[in-house]
Amino acid sequence: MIDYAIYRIAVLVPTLFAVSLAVFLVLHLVPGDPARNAAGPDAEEEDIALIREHYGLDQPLWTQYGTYLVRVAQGDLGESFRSRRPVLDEVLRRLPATVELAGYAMIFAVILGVGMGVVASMRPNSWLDQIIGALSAFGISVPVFFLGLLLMMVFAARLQWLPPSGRGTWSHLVLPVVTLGLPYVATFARVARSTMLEVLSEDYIRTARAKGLVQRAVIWRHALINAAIPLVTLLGVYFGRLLGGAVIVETIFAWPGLGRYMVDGIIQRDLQVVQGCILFFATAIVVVNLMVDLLYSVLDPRIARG
Amino acid sequence: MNAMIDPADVRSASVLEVSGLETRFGAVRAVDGVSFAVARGETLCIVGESGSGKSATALSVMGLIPSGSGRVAAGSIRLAGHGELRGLSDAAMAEIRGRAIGMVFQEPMTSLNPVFRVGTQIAEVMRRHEDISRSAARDRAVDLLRMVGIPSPESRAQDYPHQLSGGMRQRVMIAMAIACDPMLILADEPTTALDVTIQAQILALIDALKHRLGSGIVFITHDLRVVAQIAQQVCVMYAGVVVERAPVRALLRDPLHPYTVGLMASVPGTAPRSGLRRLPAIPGTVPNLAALPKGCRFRNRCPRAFALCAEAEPPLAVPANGDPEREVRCWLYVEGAAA
Repeated sequence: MIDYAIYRIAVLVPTLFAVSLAVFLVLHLVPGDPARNAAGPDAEEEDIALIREHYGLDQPLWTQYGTYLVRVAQGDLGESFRSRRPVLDEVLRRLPATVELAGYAMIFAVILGVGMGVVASMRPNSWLDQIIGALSAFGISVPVFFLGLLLMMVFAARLQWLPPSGRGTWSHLVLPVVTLGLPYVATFARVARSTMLEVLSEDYIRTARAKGLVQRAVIWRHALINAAIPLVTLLGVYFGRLLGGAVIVETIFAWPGLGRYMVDGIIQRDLQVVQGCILFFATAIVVVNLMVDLLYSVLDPRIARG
Repeated sequence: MNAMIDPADVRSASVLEVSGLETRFGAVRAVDGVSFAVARGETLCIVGESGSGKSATALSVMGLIPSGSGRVAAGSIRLAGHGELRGLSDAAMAEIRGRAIGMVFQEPMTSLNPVFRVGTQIAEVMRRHEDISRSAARDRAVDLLRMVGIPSPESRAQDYPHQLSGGMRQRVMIAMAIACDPMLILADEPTTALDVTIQAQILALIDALKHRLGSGIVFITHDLRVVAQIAQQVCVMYAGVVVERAPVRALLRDPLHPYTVGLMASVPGTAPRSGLRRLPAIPGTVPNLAALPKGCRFRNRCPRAFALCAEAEPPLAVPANGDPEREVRCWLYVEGAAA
């Protein structure tokens, strides 16, 4: 188990190396001159040249990447062209807001989605199952930006039950979390239903019933732990998409998180900000997937020793 | 017969009495009016091909017929001290399952939950039905593993199912079934999936446990060699009905029903004059239960069928001029019926 964890952490290094290279190349190969952008539309050629030299943009690409890599390894993500503040500081300052949003959205999606899926699986094709199926279809197909605006219009503008934007009290959390989490509620409900149906037909479920266990224990203990294995895999896969969704949701609800910081960076063509944010997101996704894989082996004893 | 139990007592002290049991899956009557009784300390073997309704019979007794696909439509299932089981709610049946009736299934490889340690799975039965602490249940699980012949039970209790062989897993299943000293054990082909040597060990274990616990056992099998080893009473099932019922020695010595005769002839070593020859198989297949032919269910495979067999289904009755302890469902043994 420990060996496996160490091995998996070691494998992270080349993965992150590849990610950093990809991000660097993509951002430096897009058309447009970052130095000219940073200097502003009225800047003199001399100033632009100065900026270019200051940020090392006049160096060959490989030299730039080398310097960048060395700095990143030291925890330096560069500084924003605009605000002149270190990107890492800005990222860390906004991180709690994004963790809060994504974390609650994930919890919301798992609890509600898995709960709905399990309930649906207990009586397949009943009216309850069909309602849950219809809700899932809606949740999966509605786009996040549309859902966000819809919820904002109804609950903030019309009914005025919840604040339309910003961060502070728990009431500020409701709309962004629901918007971000709903598609995943639907996805988890579907997957939970189908894996539960599969698990419930297993021989060991019949054994559990033959032991005299009540329905509750059979479903939530014997079946769900087995169904949890594919669900946890899904959790890892969808965490990345959830962060992607967070970028949109944060923009809609003026949530002061990383996603909005990155979008602002993109709009202002602030190279270092975008690069830093993407690298940060990528690292987060890779680390979460590692944790999921480790959790996997905790859940399924057959993998732990494999 | 063992010295502990007098056969006369055995007859009167039935643990389980099933009568007229009918279990349907849609239009199919998988079990069609089956009756039998099991006494304490007695092993009743239900023998038949796949599709004869043996497993459906056991699952009906357990109340484990999946509610979406089938139901017990008629008949009575009486358990000593508990009365009628048919019609009990699932919650009431759950009290009986695992406590009064233990069940062992055919598939040891898949019948244990892969994510729990085997000791935990055994302890769970006792935790469910008895007022017992977690540690006491764990200790008793280890005792049970020892009782079913698992070496170093303390460490095996910590194993997950995938770490055990098929034979070991089946022993775990048996430990689980006997954890609460059930009065009745249902064993649905518990040795079919195992190697022959392991099979013999498991049979010996079940037989030893019967003597030790005094439970009644319903042992389902398709293998007459197993029957010879373990049974006192035998029911032969065919297409959802009992075609012959007899004490084991009488049945093996002198099978009456043509189906039983065919079954015995197809077992190597049991048929008379067994020399170098091809094993006979019963020709044809089990009829479609959804569209049973009129008359005897076995007639289109029966070498001795005659006109009456196509007209009416024979009753299950004591054979004419025969042993009063036996019953057979065949016109050949009904006085005045045979041409």
